[in-house]
Amino acid sequence: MLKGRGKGKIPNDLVAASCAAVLAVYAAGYSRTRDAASRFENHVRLRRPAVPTTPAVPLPATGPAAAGPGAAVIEAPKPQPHPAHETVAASAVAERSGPKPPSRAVPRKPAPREAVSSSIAVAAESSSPGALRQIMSVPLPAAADAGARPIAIRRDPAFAADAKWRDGTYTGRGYSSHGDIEARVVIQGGRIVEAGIATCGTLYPCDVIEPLIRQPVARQSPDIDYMSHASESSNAYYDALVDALGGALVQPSSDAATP
Amino acid sequence: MIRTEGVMGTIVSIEVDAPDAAVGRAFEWFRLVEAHCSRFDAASELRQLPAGRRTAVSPILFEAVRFALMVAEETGGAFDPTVGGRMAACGFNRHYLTREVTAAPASDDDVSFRDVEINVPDRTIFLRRPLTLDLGAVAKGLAVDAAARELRPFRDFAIDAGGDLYLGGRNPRGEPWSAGVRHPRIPGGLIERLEVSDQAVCTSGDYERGRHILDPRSGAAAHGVASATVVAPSAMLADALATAAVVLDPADSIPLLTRLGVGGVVVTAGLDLLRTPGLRRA
Repeated sequence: MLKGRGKGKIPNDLVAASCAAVLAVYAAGYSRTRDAASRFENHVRLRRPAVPTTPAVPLPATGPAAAGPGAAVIEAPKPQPHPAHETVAASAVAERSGPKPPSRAVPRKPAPREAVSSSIAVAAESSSPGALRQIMSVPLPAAADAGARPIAIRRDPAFAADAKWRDGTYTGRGYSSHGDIEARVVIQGGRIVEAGIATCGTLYPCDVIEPLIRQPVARQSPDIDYMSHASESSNAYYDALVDALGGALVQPSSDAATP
Repeated sequence: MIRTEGVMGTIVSIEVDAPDAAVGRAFEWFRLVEAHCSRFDAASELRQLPAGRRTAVSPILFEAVRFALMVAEETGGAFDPTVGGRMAACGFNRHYLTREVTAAPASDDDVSFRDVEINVPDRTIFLRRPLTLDLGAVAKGLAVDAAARELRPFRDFAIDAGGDLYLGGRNPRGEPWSAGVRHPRIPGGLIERLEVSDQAVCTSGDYERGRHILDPRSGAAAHGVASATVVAPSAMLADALATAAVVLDPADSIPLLTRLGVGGVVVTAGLDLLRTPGLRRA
């Protein structure tokens, strides 16, 4: 049977013990994670796509990104669903405290546009099933793709709060260790009126994330919830939504360029 | 931004606006804890523990075992880290990367956490009998907690280790994090939405991965509870208690969680939903 103790004593036992254990472990392992930090930094730097060292150039069609210095400059999205095998626009920016490399658009598939940021932006071949897996330092059994490709690194919120969308139907793809999800988003009157899963390629039925599927309509953003025990599928759906909405995004800079 | 790595047999995602170095340190905790506490890796410190000899161990392994024994004591053996041998006998015996079957030491059917002694002053562990420790629930939680501590300076972050969550601060919309708990029987159904900030959320259940939790007291697969979710200040506590709550009768688990001051949602096999009082629901 369970141990019976007086009320008021037990709450401090396991809660306090777990906190004490974490502190003890943290203190013991602190020095051992220092080396990892520099290794991780180097790995991430190496995995990012090569950033042109030439100065950023304005894009006549879309204008320069509205993001601040060092932020991503991304090609204007097309108001069409993404062809399945195009590649995402590559971009990279500096970290908050680091140097900010110049960037320019790469004429590839539209990608989720990053809001004004001093953090890492998108850099990916989203058509690669192994794209997200490339950032795993420990290969999973299913992640056999060992090619040196760019990595998808994303940040939240994926879009500015005042992001505007072009009307149309857009699709995007997200990946997990147990399969891919293709999302479909419909924009009408500049609003997300429909969000759903066009193709479910995950090991588990996409029903597992059914409660999340229409959240983008209510929230007018791809920021869906986490779901305990369905986290990979929900992350893949999130990725797919960001990918799809990246194609629908109206670049603020293109508006500014209009006389 | 979200970074993802495959560690500890699962996918770990960390969402935080922080330099790579800080996130690298956070991920390193998973590898560090795994190196010490994995029962699947013959080279882990855990697997080096001999029976019948008092052995000095690292702080990581010692704290994980010490805490596991505390939870075992508190739950009357419903959570028991010596269930490893029986887990392996049930087929949970493959390394997640190599897929190799682990050759765990022979373990008697009637071993229990009382066959494990620890000595705090000299940080030693003594296994009275040959047995396989399974620190899975505690170790992953410990890694999540250490990673969370690493990221604390950045205030707002989310760590997702295969569905075991630690949600620090607020989400990118500036609201408390919302964590959904799956309905254990209806595909796609959410049975609960929890509002969480600076806490861990861990769920154990008999779905998705099958009945992977054994009742250490009987050696049989746990039944009676379809899923148990615990919200606690630490993931190691939440994970261990969620594991225990799947094994325990809800008539025992809900009062236990309440006394411990943690939140809990227990779904019985009959789909009755039981919550601890004061649970913050989104």
